[in-house]
Amino acid sequence: MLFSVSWTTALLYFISKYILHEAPIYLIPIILFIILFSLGSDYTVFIISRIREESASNERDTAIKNGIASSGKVVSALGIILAVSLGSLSLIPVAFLEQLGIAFIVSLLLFSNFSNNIFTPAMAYKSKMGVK
Amino acid sequence: MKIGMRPINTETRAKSKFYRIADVSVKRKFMVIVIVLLLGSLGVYSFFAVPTTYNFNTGLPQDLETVKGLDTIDNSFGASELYPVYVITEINDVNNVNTTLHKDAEYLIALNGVKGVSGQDANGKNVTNVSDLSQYSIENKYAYYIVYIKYSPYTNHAINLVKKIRGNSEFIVEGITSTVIDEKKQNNAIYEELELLIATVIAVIIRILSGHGSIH
Repeated sequence: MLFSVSWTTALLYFISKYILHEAPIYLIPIILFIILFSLGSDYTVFIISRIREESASNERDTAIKNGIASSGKVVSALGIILAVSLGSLSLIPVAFLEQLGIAFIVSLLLFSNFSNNIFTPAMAYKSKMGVK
Repeated sequence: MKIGMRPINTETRAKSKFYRIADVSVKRKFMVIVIVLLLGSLGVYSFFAVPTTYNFNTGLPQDLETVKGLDTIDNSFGASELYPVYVITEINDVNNVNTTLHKDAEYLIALNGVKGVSGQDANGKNVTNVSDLSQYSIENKYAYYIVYIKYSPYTNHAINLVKKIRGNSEFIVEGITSTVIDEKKQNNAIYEELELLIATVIAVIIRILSGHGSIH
């Protein structure tokens, strides 16, 4: 989550500066942090609980892989749906909403696809989060 | 069979992209964690270092009447014409009021980046001598100056200049730039508390739900 929020802020800066030709508005990073932290925890809890279910009858690595295989598609789809709906704010020609919309698109795609599917399995294995 | 109700068999699951990605991630867990942490720390640095603006007018469509008006005034008279800096000074010593205000006017006019000052003993870039307190006094207790600067009120140049004026303890400084300085200070403190609070609350809830907490 921190990865997504921080990288989105950095990417938003470049998009705002070089494409929109305006500076990011000061409220964007904190709004992103609040919303993504809540959403991110939501998705992670969902994935971890799926891994836990799998761990009842499987080894740790198999449980993680099965858990991600079952929940990854759903989480990615949710991320894309949310990115599209919240991202529609970027069509409003008011800098604050435009930037917020772009930030949501970048962060949700980054989070739901990259963080959840690539980082979560490695971290779940190392930290034994949700598995035996 | 209805959508979402189709059972997933082991073979189909193993063929899924998500399974293969998780497989690579688990096999190369150290590399994944190190890369994400490295990229993450770069991102965290940029999260705090990215310059942001307090100007909500930024990016408004150029064809709006207000934007045209603002641009015209900005281009003709400078951005500070609409948003000048207001400096209020207390009149402590009534006997030496003229001397004190004269010095204040001199100080403000001499500042780097100041385009002009309106107020007691100040007229543009000139220091004048007015014997009695003029229209710029407030009940003979305070006097105020309107300081026009060369920079847009949201820029770092303007912020630095206003910070310098605020550094003088005799002055109360008002205006958009001064507000931005106060908001930044206030927000930085609140943001840190908020981030810590959210992270802690989520961590506690996840810990309790994952069965490691005291609630079962």
